[in-house]
Amino acid sequence: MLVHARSAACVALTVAFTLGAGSWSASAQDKVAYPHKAVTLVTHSSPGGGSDVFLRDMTKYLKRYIDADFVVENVSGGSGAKAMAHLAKQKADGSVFYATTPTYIYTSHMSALDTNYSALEPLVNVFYDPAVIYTRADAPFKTLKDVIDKAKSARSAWGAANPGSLERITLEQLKKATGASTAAVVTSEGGGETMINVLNGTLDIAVGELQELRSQLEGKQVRVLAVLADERLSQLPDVPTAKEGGIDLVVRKFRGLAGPKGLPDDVTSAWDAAIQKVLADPEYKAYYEAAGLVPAFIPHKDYVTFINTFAEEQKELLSEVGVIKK
Amino acid sequence: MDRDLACGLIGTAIALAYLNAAADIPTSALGDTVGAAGVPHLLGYALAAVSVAFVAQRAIALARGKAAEARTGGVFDDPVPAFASAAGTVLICAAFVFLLEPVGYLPAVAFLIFALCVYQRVAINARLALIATGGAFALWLLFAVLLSVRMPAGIWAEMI
Amino acid sequence: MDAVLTSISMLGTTMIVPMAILGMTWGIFGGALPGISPSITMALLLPFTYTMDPVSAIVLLASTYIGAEYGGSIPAILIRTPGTNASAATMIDGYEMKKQGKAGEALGISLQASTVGNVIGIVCLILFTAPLSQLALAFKPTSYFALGILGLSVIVSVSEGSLFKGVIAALIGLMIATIGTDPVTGVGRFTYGQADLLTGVPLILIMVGLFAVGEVLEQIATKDDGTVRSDLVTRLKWPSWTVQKKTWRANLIGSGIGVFCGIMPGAGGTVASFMAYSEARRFSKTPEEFGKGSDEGIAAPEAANNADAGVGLIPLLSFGIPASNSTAILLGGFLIHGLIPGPVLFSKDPTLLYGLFTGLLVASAALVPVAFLTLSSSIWLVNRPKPLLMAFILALVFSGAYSINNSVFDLGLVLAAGVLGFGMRFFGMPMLPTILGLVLGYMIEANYRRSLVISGGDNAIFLEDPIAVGFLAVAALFLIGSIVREVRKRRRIKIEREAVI
Repeated sequence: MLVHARSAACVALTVAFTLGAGSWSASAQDKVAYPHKAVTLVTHSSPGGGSDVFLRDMTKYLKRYIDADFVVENVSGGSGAKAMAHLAKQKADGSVFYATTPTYIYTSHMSALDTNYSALEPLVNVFYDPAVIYTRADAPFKTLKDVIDKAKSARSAWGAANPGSLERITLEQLKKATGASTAAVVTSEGGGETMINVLNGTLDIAVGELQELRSQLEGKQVRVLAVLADERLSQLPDVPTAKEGGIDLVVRKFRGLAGPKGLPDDVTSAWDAAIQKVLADPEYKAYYEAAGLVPAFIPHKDYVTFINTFAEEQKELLSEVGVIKK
Repeated sequence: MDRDLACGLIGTAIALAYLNAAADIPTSALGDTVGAAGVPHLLGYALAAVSVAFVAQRAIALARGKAAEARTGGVFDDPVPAFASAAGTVLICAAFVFLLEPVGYLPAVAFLIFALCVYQRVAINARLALIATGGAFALWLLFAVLLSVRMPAGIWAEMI
Repeated sequence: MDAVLTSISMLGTTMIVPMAILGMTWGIFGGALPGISPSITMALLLPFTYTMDPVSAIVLLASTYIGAEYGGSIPAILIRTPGTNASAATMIDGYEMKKQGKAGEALGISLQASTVGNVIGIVCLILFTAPLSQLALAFKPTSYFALGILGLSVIVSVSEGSLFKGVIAALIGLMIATIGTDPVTGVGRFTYGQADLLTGVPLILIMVGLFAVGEVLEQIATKDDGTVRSDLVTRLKWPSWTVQKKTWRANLIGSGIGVFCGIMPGAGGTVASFMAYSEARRFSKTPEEFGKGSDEGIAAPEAANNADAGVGLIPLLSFGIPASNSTAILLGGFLIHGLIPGPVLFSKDPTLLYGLFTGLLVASAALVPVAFLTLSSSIWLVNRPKPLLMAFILALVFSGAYSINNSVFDLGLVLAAGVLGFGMRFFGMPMLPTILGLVLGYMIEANYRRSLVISGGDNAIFLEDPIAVGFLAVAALFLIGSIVREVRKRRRIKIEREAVI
């Protein structure tokens, strides 16, 4: 719905999550010491959106490993632009962080902003959201190659959720890598419209996150043709990666944290330790695996390089396909 | 000046300004056959055409001397005081918008209510001051407390 | 039969009834505040649902959703401030009636229409989820484009007075809709690096500015002695039989269009209520009353946005796809409890579905008594002396506008839209075309261009979609019909005038 999708909602919810804390109690020495009592985690998603759910779920378990309380704050608007501007103004003392996704890099590249991704310091990565290519359950395609072959000889439309997004560029890369240059890449606002158009056959395939597809996979309404990751997913052991099919396409849709520039060492090392612990928590592990997330811990010292490399690569790709000028 | 004629001229001016701004829309190689600037250009030319046609129709009617001016009635029959009054209201609102973040939500809203009432010739007295502060407090309770909107704290931030 | 018995027993054994009433009340309250959209109203409750059992949580959120869709009409009628986007259509005739001193009647008509819309929407949801979900899949980008054109085709007939002014007003609305990120290429248009403009101008800001702020500017400029008030509101008046005989058709047209738009994930309540307003006018025996305080003009959009709300759950329940921000929050409510809505969930555990349906019915039954209570305080508030009322309307409007994005920039936009609204009134320009352009512009452009991307630039793709062909044909008929009517009317006036001379 265009009106809703465009008017970003913004609400601050300051609720301490107590769910689950009663069933499990950590002894004090298991917890990583932290210089702040309360930590604010900012997301550009509206309540109920991707990063919002990620943060709220993670903080439930994070409290077992970091000696602090967590508050999630939604600073929506401008596809992350407002959240970045907000974060850059905060003190770099470890009391406030921002949930990173490729969106904030893309917004920085696509729009001439005063404050962009380079104003923030990447802290640590937590997950990859594995990207998959899917089609409707009764589609004639059995493999990604079938779709590519069709696209070379007939009209074939492929869907990505948003116009200036990693998914969009992924499909452009797929076109380039396979020579299916006539395939049409159709974007919409959000995954819902794309899904409807896959189900009704307007789109042959679409790229999406495993998370968003859970309901349709369960209901056997869609079929995953390929996984855009280095390895097969534990949730979909029978689905090959694009690499196995000879297409070298890997998407790293990361979910992590970043803070204002100049984070102190005791803060970064506390997070390095705590994220490893939280990812190993059996209860959380069961939860995030069911949700379709792949743990991908990247420590602080490597995450800065990771984000910068990612940003440079994407800038290169965007200017290659002509979306932005160098 | 004839009101409809002015309306058409303003429409033309908006169309030209819009087309001028639309010229800056970046092109993208991912673009479709229409392009990001396609629809804006179409709308701009359409508005220009309709407005010019409106002006022409009005001018011809006026020249023939049989065009009655469109009256909207009410306050607009005497435009000068109406516009002057509206400009005053807009100025008060603009002052509120500028004040909101520096001074904070409560004082800014109290100011807005107080100033607008005074502007409408409500007598300045303790009752009005009470209504303005009480009203601001009620709205603050509604939005900031009940609905947890982060209203600007302004000068209150240092005091707490 | 089993389902009915299970549902009835759930009334006594679960928290459905209190949750439905609580949600309804909270929803009306949130919906009535401008800027607090139905989805924000729901999101505020989300954290509290973590610790509830799933049925209570879902019923609470869903009742809030339908309550908020009604709540928007209260300030729309009383102070010309749409509380939600969809209620802007109710406002057109609702506020006219208020000015005529008939606010009580207007509130009664909107309350009855909301109830009718709710019940029809929920019954469709309960009985026809499967066939309607198949229909939802029939709509392609080409169909959405054609639906938008059909919506715009009423511009000629709603431009009273001057066709030129109507078209200029519509084009201004369409132009405002082009601000923001381009739907196909993703580049910024008219954004100038402003973070606040990247996702476009929020519709509610423009509507609140054009109508509420514009109205306040005009009211303050109007000199009166303040002793005689013709528009005092006394109390809510349930529509009499004479009124009901007039509005039943509008109620049904509205509900029908609401159901229709509800199953289309790309349309939604705002499109539904404006389409309903135009169609009710088209099929009315007294179309000339529209815009001047028509009973039907209140009933149709109000029935439509409430029917849309109920049916809007179908894409979520049958495909797990949220069709709007509000249903996205409801999806969040499911996910929090580890439930993934979709066909599998409900065949595994139908009690959840029965609970939801029962809760929605309880909430619609609770709407009338809850609204009666809420309205008495609202009525007291709007009967304060005019200067105070005007000052508080602006304070409320700015508070609401700020809470959308916590942005002072948005307040500037509201004020600018208010100046535009004042100017448009001065020139006697109709507002409805501007709003139609704003509501439909993005949908038309995005889907037109998407269709062409799919076809590789070939316009023939619109002829391949029978739904699009149907919509476009109807739009063309209406457009020609209204132009012919307009020309005949002009000629008649001219002949009459010459006869007088």
